[in-house]
Amino acid sequence: MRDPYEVLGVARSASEDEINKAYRKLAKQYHPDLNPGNKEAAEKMSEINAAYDAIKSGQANSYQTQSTYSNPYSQSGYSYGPFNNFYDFSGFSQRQNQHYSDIDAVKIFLNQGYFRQAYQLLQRIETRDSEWYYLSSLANYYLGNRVTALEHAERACKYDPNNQDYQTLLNVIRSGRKAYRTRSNNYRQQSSSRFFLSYLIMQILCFIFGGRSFCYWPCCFFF
Amino acid sequence: MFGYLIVNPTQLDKEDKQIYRGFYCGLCHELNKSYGNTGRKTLSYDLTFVSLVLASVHHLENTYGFERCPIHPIVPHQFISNEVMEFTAAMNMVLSYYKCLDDYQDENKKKAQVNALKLEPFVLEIKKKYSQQVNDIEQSLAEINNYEKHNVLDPDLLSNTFGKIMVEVFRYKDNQPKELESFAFHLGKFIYLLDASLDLKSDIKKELYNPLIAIDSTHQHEMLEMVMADCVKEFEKLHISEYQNIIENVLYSGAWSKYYVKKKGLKDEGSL
Repeated sequence: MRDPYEVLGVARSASEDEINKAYRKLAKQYHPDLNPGNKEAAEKMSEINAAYDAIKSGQANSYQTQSTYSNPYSQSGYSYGPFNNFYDFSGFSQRQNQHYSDIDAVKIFLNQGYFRQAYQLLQRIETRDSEWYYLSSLANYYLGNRVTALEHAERACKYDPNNQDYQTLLNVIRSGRKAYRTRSNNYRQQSSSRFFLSYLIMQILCFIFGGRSFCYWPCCFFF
Repeated sequence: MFGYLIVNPTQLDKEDKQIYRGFYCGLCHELNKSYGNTGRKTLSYDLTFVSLVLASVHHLENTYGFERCPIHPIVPHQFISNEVMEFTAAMNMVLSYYKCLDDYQDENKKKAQVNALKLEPFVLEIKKKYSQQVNDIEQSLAEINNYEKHNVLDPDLLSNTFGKIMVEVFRYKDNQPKELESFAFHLGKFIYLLDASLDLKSDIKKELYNPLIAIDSTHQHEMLEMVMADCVKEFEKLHISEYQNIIENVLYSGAWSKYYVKKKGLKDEGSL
């Protein structure tokens, strides 16, 4: 990955406002919704998103100080709260690869139902591979964060299309809306286009007579 | 709010239409009674829906009346009033007030400022009576403003905060069923995300804040369906029988009207 600051085209000393402005400007240029079917733009946008995300979460600093990455357990005083006694976390931090020890801890939290803790720990992990997205999707799902859960499950599947677990999770998340969708579609198939027409007429009348915040021309045209 | 909670009239029978219209006119009547013409202008479908749900949950008795009004001066029409209307009318004023303030602060609309000034004295009165609701709404709105200012791109966080506002709008009594709270929360989430998804393109063009800017928008419809499915699940737990047809009409169909009108060219994703 390129240096996030370079991707956004801002200086390292840029203020939050400047970074936000740069991001929005780039989004205007490359967002897939404004460039339908343009694959290059879509790729560029995901690079911009990743860079923005990295800067916002403070990870971008590690591009300067990559070698001094230190154990988050010992340094920041991150506490596992009441669960300290359940597991001996010292074993994890002694492992050579820090990343795996964090992922293992996340899995334990998830298994035990401590989703908030799993979520918080996930935010601190820098390597975001398919497994990270899978676990993040799980944690978010149980915390009720449906949008993020869906988004991350999709990403996990995209990065690793052959993994059955990822696919299963995505299906579970999606299946929640099945009953709703069936019923909602029934309504839709039965309603004629007349409704949409009358709705549009109503909107126009509202616009002419009422202005946007005050609607003086209500439902009388419907009934 | 945003006027999303409307019915799909093609799917309502005559009787239900009459009830719906009765509630709508009833709310208008109540706004006029308590806040005069300024109040009447804030009338919204959203709070009509809230009145319906609350009246149904608390099994409120309706009284019926007939009147002529400036909009329908010739034919007298029926309006329904019940004890919840006073509360929903107050919430309607509060939400309109903050909407005007928001429009003025974000986009510097002069008209919105004038309207906010007109509504202000009423809102101060309401704040005395429903202090918990108004204070919580105020606080959540301040949170949302703060997130927007710092360009926080977490749709769940933002919509959850809006969900909390909706919970307050439904807090007619303190000892309401838990499911109602949860229903209101998910409904608020849905409205916030729907609004964000409909404004996405224009927000990007104007370089304004939008929480969905970093989310892959090919799955927007799916995301909205998921949130609404959660909302309906909570609704079913309430076991509502009065006005069930009308409320379900809004949840399954009416609430999507703006979405389908705006994205008419939208291709069906096919069922999964």
